[in-house]
Amino acid sequence: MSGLTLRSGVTFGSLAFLAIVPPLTGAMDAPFVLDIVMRMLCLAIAAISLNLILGYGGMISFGHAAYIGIGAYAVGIPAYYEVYSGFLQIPLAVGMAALFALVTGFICLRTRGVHFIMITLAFAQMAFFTFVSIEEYGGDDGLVIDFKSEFIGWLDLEEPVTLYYVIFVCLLGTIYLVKRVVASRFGMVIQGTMGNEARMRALGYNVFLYRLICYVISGAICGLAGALLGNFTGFISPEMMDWTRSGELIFMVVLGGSGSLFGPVLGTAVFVIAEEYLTPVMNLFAAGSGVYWHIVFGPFLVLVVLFGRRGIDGLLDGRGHRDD
Amino acid sequence: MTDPILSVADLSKTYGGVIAVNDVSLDVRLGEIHAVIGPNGAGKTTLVSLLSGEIAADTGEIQFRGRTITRLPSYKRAQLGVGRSFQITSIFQKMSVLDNVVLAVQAGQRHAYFKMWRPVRGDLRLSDPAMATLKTVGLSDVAHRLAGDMSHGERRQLEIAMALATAPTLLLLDEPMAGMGLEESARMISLIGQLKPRHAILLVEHDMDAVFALADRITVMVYGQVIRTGIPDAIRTDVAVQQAYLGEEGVNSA
Amino acid sequence: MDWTLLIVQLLNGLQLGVLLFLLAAGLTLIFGIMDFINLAHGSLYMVGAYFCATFTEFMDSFLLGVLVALPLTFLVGLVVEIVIARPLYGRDHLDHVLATFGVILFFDALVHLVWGPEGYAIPLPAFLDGQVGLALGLVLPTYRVLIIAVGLFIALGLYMVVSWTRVGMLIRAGASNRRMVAALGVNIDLLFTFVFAGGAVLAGVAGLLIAPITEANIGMGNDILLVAFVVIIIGGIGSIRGAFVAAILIGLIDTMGRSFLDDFMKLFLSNQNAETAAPAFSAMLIYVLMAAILYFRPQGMFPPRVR
Repeated sequence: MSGLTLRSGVTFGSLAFLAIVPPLTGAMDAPFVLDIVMRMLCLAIAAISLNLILGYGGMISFGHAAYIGIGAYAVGIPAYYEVYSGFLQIPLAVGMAALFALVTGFICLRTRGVHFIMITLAFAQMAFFTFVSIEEYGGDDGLVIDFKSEFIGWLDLEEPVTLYYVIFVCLLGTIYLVKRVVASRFGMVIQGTMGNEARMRALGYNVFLYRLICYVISGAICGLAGALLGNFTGFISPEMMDWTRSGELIFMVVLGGSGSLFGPVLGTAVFVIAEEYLTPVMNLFAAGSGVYWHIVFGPFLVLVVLFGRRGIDGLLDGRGHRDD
Repeated sequence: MTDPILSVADLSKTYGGVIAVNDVSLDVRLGEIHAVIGPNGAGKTTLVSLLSGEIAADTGEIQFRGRTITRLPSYKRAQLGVGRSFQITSIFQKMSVLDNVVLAVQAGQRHAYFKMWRPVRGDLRLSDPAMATLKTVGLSDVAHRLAGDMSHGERRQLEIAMALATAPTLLLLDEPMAGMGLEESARMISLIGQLKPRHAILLVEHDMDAVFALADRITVMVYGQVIRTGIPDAIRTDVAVQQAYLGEEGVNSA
Repeated sequence: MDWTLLIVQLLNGLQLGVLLFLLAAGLTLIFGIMDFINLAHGSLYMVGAYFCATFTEFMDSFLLGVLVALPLTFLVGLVVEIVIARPLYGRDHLDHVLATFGVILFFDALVHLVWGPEGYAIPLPAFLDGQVGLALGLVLPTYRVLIIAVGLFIALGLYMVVSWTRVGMLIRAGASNRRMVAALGVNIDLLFTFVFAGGAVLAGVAGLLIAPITEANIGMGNDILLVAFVVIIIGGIGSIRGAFVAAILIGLIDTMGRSFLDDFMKLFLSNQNAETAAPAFSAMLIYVLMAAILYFRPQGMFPPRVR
């Protein structure tokens, strides 16, 4: 298994590095960098959740950002009413996201291909428009939360380092959870349905039900990511659910290597780094050009699709043959 | 005389003006191989798809072990004990041979809707039956090879293995010998013969050697209709059958 | 019941419908024939508007602006087809989505670079800027009537091309059976390029038609693109007739919904609730419609004959 050493080396190395980021940035006195990494970790959790259905299950959801938004608002709306208990907000985020996934998945999963892409997009748009129109919670302008989720007597999320490690632990938990799910009987079924749906039915599998359960799990995890992101930014707006955000999420998954365990994290990292640093780098070459960083990023996306389809994970694996 | 495992009555399916399957009736008993033959376009594969549940019939009734399954979706029929092999090889190319059969074995065990914790790898309740099935079809040597890397003949064997691994009562075999050489065909014929005692088998085939070697009864279909059903000797000598089908190939037979 | 308002909004709905059709026609053909999901179609809509704005200003004539914008948009469509679409034919839909998403980002930033972040207004010539009196004492802005007329005229022209010309026959055949057309020995590459670039021009026309009213602005393509996809899903992928019917339908529903849904809801909700809920519902209306259609008739209203 030739690719295993390099790939697992990168995986564990990255995780070890992420574990020491807070003291590192503390020593460098660069809280801004800590912020970037925190945001990246939240998005990585979302990307892993999308990869579960997209990379392993072949379900291309173009509306996954909706779960980020739902999770975030599950923190923001109680906060609006001065209810800050994390013990309420986090389960609410996961629960509401799971519910939305259950209801929309029930309808979406009856379709496939481009119809599935469009209908997941449609539901995300519906969620978007709903939140835009609720003036009470800020509508288009969004919602500012005064205090982060409170876990009284246990954790103080106002401390950036504490918040960071909470998010980091959630990321570790998510990776481990997905690892087990993918290797389990349930995971086998999901991967089988991506490979050959007709065959699965002929064997006796209720493909729809398996997919629905997978879809709900994915949505729930993404809701958690949204709750964490909302806590981090302190500002919650419908823009978090915009369809371009869903597109970016897909890109993070594909860039990292869809259908790989750690790939989404790497893909998210590259995306966030590009987002943050392409601008100042471009400004070095041509002052003021940084604001047009999409001129470089867009073609980069195209090139990845044309030539790097197996993503970073594919590069690490060498032969392009998965052995999970 | 026990009841047939599979009982089909007046089954019909029309596709936009073309009657693919027209009023077909037949039955298959336990321990019997009932072959369905006919020239291309006779509707044989459509018939198999109607029986497995991939396509819904327009009219008619299908009974399986005394239970009406005409309106049941394919996965439910499979759960009841209907196994199928596909004419165009339908395996999981990107998985190992063993994993292919494991998926089939797993399907025959309890539902895995919430079995998300224990890994499949190393689960003997899956790998033992899977390896046993592979041994039966003669693929145990290549258990860890990637399914997509195998030869055509080996893939057809895997097709059968997957149909078997769910421990079905009825086997719908759609041209299992398609594209096989002499040696491979002989092996397949021997295998199907071994399966006969414990299963009811509906065999769609073009290979006349295989059909006459294996079949207890033969149904001949032309243009979607059954023109004759009977024992091999009767079919071989039947004038109508010879005209419609065997006649085209000359008298080449077993 | 304000009948004048109703009729005005009906005509506005028709106008939106006609614009949606121009976008959807290209989109549905590109998808139906090349099986290519083109998210960048909205960028071509935007590019058409900006080209027209620039040359209207340069040459001090709206007409000339239009005439120059058309071939330029065709060229851009050509380049996109050759560079982006062609290498991706036959690949996974996901690849199309991601690649054309990258194209959107690129064009949005490029337009920002060349034309700046502000919108770009297109002044109308005097003879188009006035009003025209229709039957029943109705008075409408001339330009809006023109948009509807032009749109219908193009729809008719497209229908004639697709129904009565050899190219049109190839297009119809390709929409229902791509392999067959290739087997007929037709130069597939050329046909595909023609369809793509042709679709681009239609999108550009829609863009330059609406720009005098809304200004050319970055991101104008993204929102309407989604609606155009809803149109082709509802109409049936690959069907021009479906695109037309669905586009008019959506245009009417969306416009009427936005105008009258709050009044409608006031019939059984409190005024305040109606005012809050109506904007959300009217925005969602077309997506609800699409979800419903996908559930009951997934192939759309007028799917071309099965492949």
